[in-house]
Amino acid sequence: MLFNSIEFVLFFPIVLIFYWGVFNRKPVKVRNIFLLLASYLFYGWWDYRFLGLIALSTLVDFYCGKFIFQAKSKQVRLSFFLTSLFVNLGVLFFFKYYGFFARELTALFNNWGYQVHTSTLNIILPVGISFYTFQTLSYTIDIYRRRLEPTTDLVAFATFVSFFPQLVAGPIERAGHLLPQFSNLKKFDYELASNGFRQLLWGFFAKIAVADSVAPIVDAIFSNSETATPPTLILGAVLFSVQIFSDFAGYSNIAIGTAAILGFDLMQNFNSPFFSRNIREFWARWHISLSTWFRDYVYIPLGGNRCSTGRHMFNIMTTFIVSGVWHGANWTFLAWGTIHGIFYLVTSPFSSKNITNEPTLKQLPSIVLTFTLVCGAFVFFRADNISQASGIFRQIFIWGAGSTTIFQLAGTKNVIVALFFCCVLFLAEWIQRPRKHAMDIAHLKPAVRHGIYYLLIFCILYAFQTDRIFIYFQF
Amino acid sequence: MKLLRRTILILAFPLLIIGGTNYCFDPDYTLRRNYIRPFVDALLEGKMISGPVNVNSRTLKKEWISRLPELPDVVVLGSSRTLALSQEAIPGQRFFNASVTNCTFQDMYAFLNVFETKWANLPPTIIICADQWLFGNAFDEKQWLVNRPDFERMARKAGVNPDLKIQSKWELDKEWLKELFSAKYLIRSLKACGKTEPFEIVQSVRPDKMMFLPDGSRHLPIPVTNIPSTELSVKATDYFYSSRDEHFTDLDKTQQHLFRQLIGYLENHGCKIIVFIPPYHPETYRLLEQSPQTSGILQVEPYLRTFENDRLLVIGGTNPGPQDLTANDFYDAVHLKQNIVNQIVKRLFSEK
Repeated sequence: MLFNSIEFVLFFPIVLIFYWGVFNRKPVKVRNIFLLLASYLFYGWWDYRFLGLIALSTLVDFYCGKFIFQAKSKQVRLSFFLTSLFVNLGVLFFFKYYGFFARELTALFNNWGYQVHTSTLNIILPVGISFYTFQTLSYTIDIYRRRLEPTTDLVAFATFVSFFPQLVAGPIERAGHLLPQFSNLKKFDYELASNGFRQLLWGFFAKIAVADSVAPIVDAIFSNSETATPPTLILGAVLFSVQIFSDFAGYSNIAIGTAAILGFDLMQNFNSPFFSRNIREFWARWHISLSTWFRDYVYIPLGGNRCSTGRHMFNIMTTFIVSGVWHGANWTFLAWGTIHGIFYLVTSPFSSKNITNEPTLKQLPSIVLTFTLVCGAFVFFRADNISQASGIFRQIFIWGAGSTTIFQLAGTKNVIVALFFCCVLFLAEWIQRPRKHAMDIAHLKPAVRHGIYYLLIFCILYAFQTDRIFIYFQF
Repeated sequence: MKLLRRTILILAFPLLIIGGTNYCFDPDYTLRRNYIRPFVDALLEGKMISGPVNVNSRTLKKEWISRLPELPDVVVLGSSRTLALSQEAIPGQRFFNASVTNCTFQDMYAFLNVFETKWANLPPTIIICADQWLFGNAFDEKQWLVNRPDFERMARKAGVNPDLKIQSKWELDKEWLKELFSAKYLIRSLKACGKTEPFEIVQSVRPDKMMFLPDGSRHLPIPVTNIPSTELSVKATDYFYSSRDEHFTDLDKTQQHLFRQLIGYLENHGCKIIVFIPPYHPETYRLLEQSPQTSGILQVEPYLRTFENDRLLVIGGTNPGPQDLTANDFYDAVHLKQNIVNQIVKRLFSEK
């Protein structure tokens, strides 16, 4: 089920009524069973066959976590830990990377003159597999590293793995933060819930009004990149960056808002990343739950920065490359990760480590420079293949090539409407940058607040046309 | 309770206002359907309807077909590209144009089922408009779901693979709900408030109006079909860039299956079939031909030609050049002018 679907508009109020009205007054286990069933329904609406994978991941990690904790010998601990790793990463590899590797290896052997025929199965990628796999993996890793004690409540753990607000596209929660929240009944908190509603509204605006208005323009530009003018291609890169941000940050806001209305606290996933003053800061603000995951489970185990300069650089590059590949089985994602790794290493010596203060207008040049680098890298992320991405850069730098404008490709009215929504998004994100989300407006007068709500609802209903899928569902 | 009250105030209030306004004004006649029966009454009496003609044409055509007094000799199943085809092209025979905008194969199945249910027989000659996008996987039209049961019945009879995944009618209902609460539609409703062009039942064709004619065809207002060549050229180019329907590189297997079964069923029932491949505007065709993303479009015609036999004739073609068609024969990227479509079909029937 998509958040931006009529099904969810019907599903969520029903869940909410039963949750607060009935099940949150029952024992915790009953409440959790209700949330678990609701989550499975939410996921199964897309394809119920893949519920088995979630159940498998849940059972394997629950029992592996338990046995790792109880094991007396190191070898037993390690064997259960490896079991968890193999099952989770094996499932992930099979569904996400098998086809890619089979195809690439076949091409490689054929190039060497060996005729190899592999049958690459037509494998459907289960939605959200990378997210819940990483979430459950962190549980067993933390237990293995003795940073977490396993839960004895299988229902609570299963609900933690499949909690519907964040099941398919994060934020990737840590067991230490989310799991304890399933161990007690919630007390309805008006402020938390109303703030959740506001965040939900902002998420819908970002997804439906901004991302879905920009998406057809970006699609048109990238599918006609050979004939587009350089300014059109530049705008295409910028608009894709806005699209992916509003799409994914929109999803995260809906997820966090939905969870807040149910009384749960999810971690912040985006913090105005396009106002970053350097690449280092960008990664502290973009997809925070994933970048901290890679920091804790890849970068630090590799040695972090407590090693030689060369090794440190290697650790950074490895982390970025793995992060790129996490997004999908395509050379473009690998290139995107590598480019960010290079940007990070090159700009690090000039980057301030103090990112606690908020960006100001005086810092606009560094914000613009960072944004330009990020947009450039996103061209690889969006392109179908490396040659299309490099073709786009060639077109941009050979000024004058191509004759099709953005208005021809997407229609003047559509472009104006999309740009208007983008401006609203950027303006609100800028004004509200010290706050957790742009709709954190509890301090405003009720009349102003309500005016803003109605304006957002109008924009959402203006742009709401189709169930356009979230970009991050494919990862 | 406080939060519930506020939520209702914030969410339900605008929804009520927007939905209520849209439903009351309904400027494009998409939300209400109570006008369909009186229309069909008038059309069956040989009268014409003038005014905006819109998406509920499927419901209209179904009702119309089911109340036709006689089984037509020639029936057209197609999209807006054959909607202009009129009785004038086929004189002396009972003719009915069952084309609807954005027609799909499922629509064709559904209408054939309505014919067969009523007369236990099918029209002897059927003209099928084989829009190229129907054979790709990029064309997504849900309106046919309004006649889903008819499609299902016909699909069973025609031996369509029962494992074929068919969307539920709920998909269409969602579109209706989206339109009901659409702010875009609200703007149109407010703009049109009091000025909405009403449907009118008239006795003769009004050149400046969009009209439904008693033979099932559609007349377009002259300003729509007679546009300056420069504007037409822009339209043809813009269409190429804005339309996603042509974006496919291989023919879709499901669509091929649907077409094959449809043809097979008609042949088995002794129908004479004329498959009309509508051409593109020369400029649009040139762009389609050059783009690797639309290469599937060029595979449609050779595929359709493989079906040619004594009882199945393929006419038209994707490329307008070999048919001696020029830009002036079109009124946009994909639509031929009425007199040209009529000429093509008339020539065929007079040769016969």
